[in-house]
Amino acid sequence: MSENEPIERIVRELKRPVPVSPDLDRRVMARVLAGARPAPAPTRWPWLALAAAAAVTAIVLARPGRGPAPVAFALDAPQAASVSVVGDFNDWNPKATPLSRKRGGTWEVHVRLDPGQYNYAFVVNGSNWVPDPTAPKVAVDDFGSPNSVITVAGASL
Amino acid sequence: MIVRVFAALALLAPATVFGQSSDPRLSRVPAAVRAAVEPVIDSANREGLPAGPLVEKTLEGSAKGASPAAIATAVRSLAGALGDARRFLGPGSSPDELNAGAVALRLGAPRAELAQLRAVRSSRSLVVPLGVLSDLVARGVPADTAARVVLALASQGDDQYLAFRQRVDRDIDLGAPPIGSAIGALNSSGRAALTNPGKKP
Repeated sequence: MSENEPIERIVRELKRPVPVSPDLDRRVMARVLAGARPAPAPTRWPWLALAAAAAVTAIVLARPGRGPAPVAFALDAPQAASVSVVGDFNDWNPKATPLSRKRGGTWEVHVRLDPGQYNYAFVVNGSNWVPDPTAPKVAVDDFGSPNSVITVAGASL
Repeated sequence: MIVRVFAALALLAPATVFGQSSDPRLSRVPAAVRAAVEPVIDSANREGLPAGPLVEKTLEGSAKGASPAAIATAVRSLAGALGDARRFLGPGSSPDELNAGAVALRLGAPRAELAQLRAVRSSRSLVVPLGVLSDLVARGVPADTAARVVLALASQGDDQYLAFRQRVDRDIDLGAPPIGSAIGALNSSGRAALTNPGKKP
């Protein structure tokens, strides 16, 4: 690969017409009507009927002088008996941060995180590891079940 | 008195001479896992690398039921990436920056771009830019393009990175190709920096 290949690829991309999906109008209107909530991601766990959790974003900006940033984790899992979130922030302990079931089968918990980057996942029914369908997955998967990642940016970052 | 001092030193010796990992969180994992990862973590400690991400990787592997050998391999790989991140981001980088840099490198981000990012943002944190880079790769943008796009925004603030990332997410959700979304979401100064890489962003 030549040194300029990435730049050439970018230039080609800038010149290339963007293909527009035939159902773009329908999806744009659906998005507008949904109040700009993220669209549900495809899931490998159809029995969970995972859907979007609008409260979660992959990067959260903490307010200067207000300490750790409040972060909401949520998962739509109407058939689950229990859901917890595990990650670098709670030593991957499935008992540390259980989610509460809300009306409609959405599970939620609010935690406060110091600035930094955290891998995390949900544990459903104590044994099923599920990445957050609304957040980017970590592409490097060391143990056969993918994580999601969240970055908390602080005043000092 | 001298005997007592020697006795105390003898008790301390195994922990100091052989550099036993002192992070109390490791007491939660099975002894076989601890035995497999402690040499790696001790070695990283001696090199001045942050032990926190390595302990967290150990806890993740243990929670997921991975074998001690698999956990040690993952921890060793992460330690190598942290060392590489420090080499390219500089010895003064914070543990959070090194962790974010290690993730970016493991995703295939070009080292030269990371070093350039440090050079341009010498007095500002790289955690958010590197987090955005990782997000872009996770969403399907090739690592080298993601690195160049992130570098094009290097002179701007974290809030600009967040706004950029939201635009990319929106466009990909609406069906645009990832690479086109990443380039199209740049603001005008970012686009200028991308197309004139010789100029300082």
